[in-house]
Amino acid sequence: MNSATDRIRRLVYLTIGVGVATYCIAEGDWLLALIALPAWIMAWPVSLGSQGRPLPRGVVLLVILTALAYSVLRVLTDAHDLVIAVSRLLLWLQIAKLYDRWTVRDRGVLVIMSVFLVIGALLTSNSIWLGAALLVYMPLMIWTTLLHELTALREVREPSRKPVRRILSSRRSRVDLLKLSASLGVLSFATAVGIFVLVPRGIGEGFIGDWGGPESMRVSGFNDSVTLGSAGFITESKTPVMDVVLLDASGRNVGSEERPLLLRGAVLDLYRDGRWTRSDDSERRDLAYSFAPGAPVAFDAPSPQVPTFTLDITLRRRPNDYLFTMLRPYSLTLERNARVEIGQRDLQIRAPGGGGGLRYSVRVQLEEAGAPLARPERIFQDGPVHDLAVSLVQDAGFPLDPDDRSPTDVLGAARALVDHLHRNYIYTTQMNAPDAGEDPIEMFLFRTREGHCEYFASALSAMCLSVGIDARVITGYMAVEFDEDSGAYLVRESNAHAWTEVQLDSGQWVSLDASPPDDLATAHEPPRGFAAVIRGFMDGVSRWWINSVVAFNETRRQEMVGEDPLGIERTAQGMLRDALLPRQAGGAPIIVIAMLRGVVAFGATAALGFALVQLAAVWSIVRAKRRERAAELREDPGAVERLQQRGFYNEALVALKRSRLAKPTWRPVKDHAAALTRIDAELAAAVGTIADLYYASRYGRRLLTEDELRHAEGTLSRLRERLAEMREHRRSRTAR
Amino acid sequence: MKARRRYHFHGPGALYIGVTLLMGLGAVNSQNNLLFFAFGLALGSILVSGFVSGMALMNLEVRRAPTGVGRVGEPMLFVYRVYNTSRWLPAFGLVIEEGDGRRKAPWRQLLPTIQAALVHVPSRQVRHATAIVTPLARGEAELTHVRIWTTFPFGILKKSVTFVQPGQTLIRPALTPTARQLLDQALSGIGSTERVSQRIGRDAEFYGLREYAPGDPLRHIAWRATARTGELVVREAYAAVSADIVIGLSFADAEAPDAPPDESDERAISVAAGMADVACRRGARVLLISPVGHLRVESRTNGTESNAADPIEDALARLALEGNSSLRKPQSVNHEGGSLIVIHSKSIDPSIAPPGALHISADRAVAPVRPVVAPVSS
Repeated sequence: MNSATDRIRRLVYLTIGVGVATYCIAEGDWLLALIALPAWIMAWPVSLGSQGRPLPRGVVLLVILTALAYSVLRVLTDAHDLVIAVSRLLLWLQIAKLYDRWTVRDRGVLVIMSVFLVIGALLTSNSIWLGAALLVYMPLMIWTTLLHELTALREVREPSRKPVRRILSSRRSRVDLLKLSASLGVLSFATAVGIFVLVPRGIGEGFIGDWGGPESMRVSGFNDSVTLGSAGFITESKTPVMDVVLLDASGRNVGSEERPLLLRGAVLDLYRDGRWTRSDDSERRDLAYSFAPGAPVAFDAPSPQVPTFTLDITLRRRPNDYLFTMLRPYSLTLERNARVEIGQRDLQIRAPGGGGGLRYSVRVQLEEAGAPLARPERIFQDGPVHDLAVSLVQDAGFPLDPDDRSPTDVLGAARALVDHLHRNYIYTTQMNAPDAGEDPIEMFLFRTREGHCEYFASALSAMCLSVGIDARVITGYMAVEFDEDSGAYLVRESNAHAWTEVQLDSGQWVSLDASPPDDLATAHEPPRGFAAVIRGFMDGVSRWWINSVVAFNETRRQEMVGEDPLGIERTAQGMLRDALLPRQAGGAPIIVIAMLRGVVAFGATAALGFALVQLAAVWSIVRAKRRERAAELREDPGAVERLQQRGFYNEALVALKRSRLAKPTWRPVKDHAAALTRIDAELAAAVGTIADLYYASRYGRRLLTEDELRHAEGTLSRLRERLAEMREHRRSRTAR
Repeated sequence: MKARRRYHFHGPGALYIGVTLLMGLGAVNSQNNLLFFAFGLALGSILVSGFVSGMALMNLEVRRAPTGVGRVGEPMLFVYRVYNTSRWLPAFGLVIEEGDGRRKAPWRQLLPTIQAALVHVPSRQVRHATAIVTPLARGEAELTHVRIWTTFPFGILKKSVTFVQPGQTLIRPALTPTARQLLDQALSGIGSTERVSQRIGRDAEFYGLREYAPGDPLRHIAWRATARTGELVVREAYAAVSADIVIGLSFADAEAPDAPPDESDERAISVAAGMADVACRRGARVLLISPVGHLRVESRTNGTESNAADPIEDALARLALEGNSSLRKPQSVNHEGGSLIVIHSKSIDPSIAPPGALHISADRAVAPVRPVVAPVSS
C-alpha cells in the first residue's frame, strides 16, 4: 500500500476531511461535526485502508438518497437554507463516496466537491476561524490537485506500466513541483489580493436578491421578541458580536469601563400570553430610507441643547436585521448600499437582508429629550401585579392617577418599582417554567422571585403599564468590556440584555434597568486571568480580521489605492449607481430588472437554440449512422449475422467489468489483453484469443466458423473460471 | 518546426469558469468580502494556469525518434525526445501524441491513437516518452505532426503546441501463428521432391521446450526448466532446411471477379509472411511471387536468419490491393526451381500453378482450425 495511487488516495482523503471540518466550522453546527468527522475518520479503516473493503453499492446509494431527500426537504421548508442544504448534500455525498470504490475520475470529482463545499462554507460564514481553516485547506487542496493530475496522467495514459511508488521519483522532480506549486499559490494569492482591493465595492449589491451573504451565525443571546416562561439557560457564550467606539462631538474617544452602554435592538411594546413583541401599530410606522455608502441620512432633528455622540459600530456577525444603537439616534451612516427601516415611534432600526457591509456609524443624543410619542397598550389593569405596583407607588408617595403625575413623578414612581425589584429579587440565568395557566411575570414576582434580565424588564414594564406609566421592553446588548488599546467596547453574545424604557412625558423616554446591578455586573464581567489573556489575543486577531477583511469597504479601499486620479472609476461608479438606484416601489432597481429579464431572455433563447442545435446534430448523426448501416448491410449482408456471432465478446467484457478489470473504452482490446498480462498470464491469453476472434469477425468481416465459435465459447468459459478463481483468491487473502 | 500555441476549451474548464463567474456574481450581489477573495483566487488560478503552463509548453522541443517497423497485432514502440529549453521553468503533466489534433490523418487506419505521457521535464533537461501501440493493419503510415498538450496545473485549460514532424513507419503484416505447422505440412506434402533435413543442436535456433521423451539426448535437457517444473524438459530447436522455397500469392476468385479486397486477402498475406519468416529462420532461401503488383522478392541472403525475410515482409506490407482491377483475375503463378507453395486467398485454383506445386487456402488457415494443405497431383 505504498504506490503513488495509495499516496494520492490518502491526500484526497485528507483534503476531504479538512474541507468537511472547514464547513462544520463555518456552519457552527457541532452536531454536524460530531457526526460527519467520525464518519470521515472511520472511512479509512473501513473502506480505504489496506484492510478495508468498499461498502456494498446499495448502502452507499441509500446514504446518498437520504442526504438528497433531506436537502430537498430542507429547501422546501425553508428556501433561505438553500446554500446550507446544498452544502450539506455535498458533504454527505463526499462522506458516502469515501466508503465506495474510487476510480481515477472519482478522485477528481471528490476534490471538486470538496472545493464546492468550501465555497459553501464561504457563503455561510465569515468568521476568523473559517479564515484560519482556509489557510490550511488551500495549500493542501492545491497540492492534492496537482499530484492528482500527475498521478491520473500516469494511470490513464500509461495503464500498462508497472505501478510506481512515487509519481515523482526523483528529488528534483519533487522540489520542482514544490517550487511550482508554491509559485502558483503565491501568484494566485497575489491575484486574489489584487482583485480584492481593486474591485469597487457597493456597486450591484443585492441586484439578484438576498443571495451570497453568510446565512447562519445567528446569535442566541439576542432575540427580537421576549418569550417568558420557558425553562433553560441564557447563553454565556463569549463569542464577540460587535465592536463599538464611542466618540463625542469633537471626535474624542469617551468610552470607558465605567460607562457601560445599552445598545438597543428590538423595541417590544405588546405583551400577550407571556410574550413581548412589537405591536403592529409600531410596525406600520416604519419608514424606509435608502443609504449609499458613506452618505449620512438624518431621520430626526437633534436638539441643539443636548450634546451629541457618535457610535462607530462594527458588527462582527450579522445576528439578524437589527442595527444596534443607544437611545436616541438621529442620523445614520452606512458603508454599503442598503435599505433601512426606521421606526418613527420607537426608533428601532433594521436593515433587512444581505451579509457583508457590517460597519455603520450612528449619531445619538444621550439625553432622553425629544423622542417620538408612543402609547403602549395598558396591561395588568387589575390583579396581583396591579396591586403590587399600586402599593409600591403609593408607598413612595407618588400620585396614582396618571393625569396628576409630572415627568418627575413618573420617573420617581418608576424608580420606586425598580428599587423594589433590586431589593427583593434574585438574578439568575437558569429558569424554571411556570405552572399551567400561570403568567410568567406573576410567577417571577410572587412565587419564584428569581429570574434573568428579561423577567426583570418584563416585570418592571408590566408594573409600570398597570399603573398608567408608558413602558416597553428593549432587547439588545450591554457593552461593558472596554479595551483601552483599541478604544473600543467589545460586545459578546453573553452581553445580550433586556431592559425597560419608560416615557416620562410626551415622547420623552428614559432607559431603566431593573436587573440588580451587582448581579448584572457579575454576569457581564469581562473574562480575567490567563484565559482572558488568550481570549484578548484572539479577540485582537479577530478584530483585525473583521476590520481588514470582513468589513473591508469602499472607504478602506480608496484609502489603500488612493483617489482615482483620472476620475474614470468615479465616473463609472456614478453612472452605474445612477443607473442602478432608480427602483420600483419596494422592489429591485428598474434597470437591473430590465437587464435581468434581458439576460434571462437571452439565456433562455440561447439555451433553447443550443438544445435545438444539439438535437439536430444528434438526429443528423443518427440518420447518417442509419444510412451508413443500411449501406453497409446492402454491401455486406452478413453484417447482422456477424454481429450476432460476436456476443461472446460482450460477455467477456461484462465478466471483466464485474471482476474490476473493465476494459477502458479508449483502449483497444488487444492492448487491454497486453495490460492484463501483468495481472495474470492465463487471463490475458484468454482475452487475447477472444480479441483475435472478435477482430476476425469485426474487422475481417467474415463469419466465424463453427469451430471458431466453439473455441470462443470455450475460451469465454475459461475466462470466467479464471476470474472466479482470482476473486476467490483475493477473498481468501483479504480474509487472512 | 513549431506551430503556435493553442488553448482548448474542455468540459472541466467550462465548469470551473462557470463556477468562478457565479462566485463573482455572488460576491458583487452580497458584497461578501470572503467571496470576493475566493473569486479572486479562482480567477487567479485560471490566469496562472493558462500563463504558466502555456509558457512551459513554448519552451519545449519534441522530436520523434526514428520509428522502426511494426507488425500488425504486435506491440510497437514510439519514442519521443522532449527537451525543455527553459532555464528555470519545469514542465509537468505532458501528453505527447501523433497528429495535429484536428484532422483524422490517413495513418489512423493503420494505427490506433498514439499517446505518450511525461510527468515531469526539468528545465534544461531531456526526457524520453514512449508510447506502445498495437498496429491495426499493414501498410505505410505517413506521420506528419507531433502534438504536445497539457492541462496542468488544475486541469482548467488545455494548452497544446504542435510540431511538424514528417516521418514514415512501415507496418508489416501479422505472422500467422500456424505458419510453422503449415510449412512443415507443406514440405512433408512435397515429399520426394524435396530433401528435408532436420537437426536439433546447439547451433540451431531455439524454438521452445517440451516434455522429455524416451530417446531424447541428455544434452538437450533444459536443467533449469526441469528444476523449475519438477519434470524433465528438453530444448527444441527449429528444424533447418536447405532448400529453396517459392511462395506464390494469389488473390484470384473466379466466382466473384469484381469483389473488393477483404479479410481473406489479408489473411493470405499473413500466411505468406509467416511462412517466409519461418522458412528463413530455418535457413532456407525464399522467393515471393505474385501476379498482383508484379511482386517478385527474394529473401536476404547475406543477413542473419532473423531478418532474412525482411524484404519479403516489407514488400507484403506495401502490397496495395485496393484499386487493383486484376486482383481477382486468375493469373499464372509459376517459377522454375525450388518448391512452389501457392497461397490462395480464396478457394484453391490449381490451374494457375504448374503441376507439383503445393496449394494452401488461406481462408481456412488461421488457428484454431487445422490448416488444410492440399497436395495437387497432375
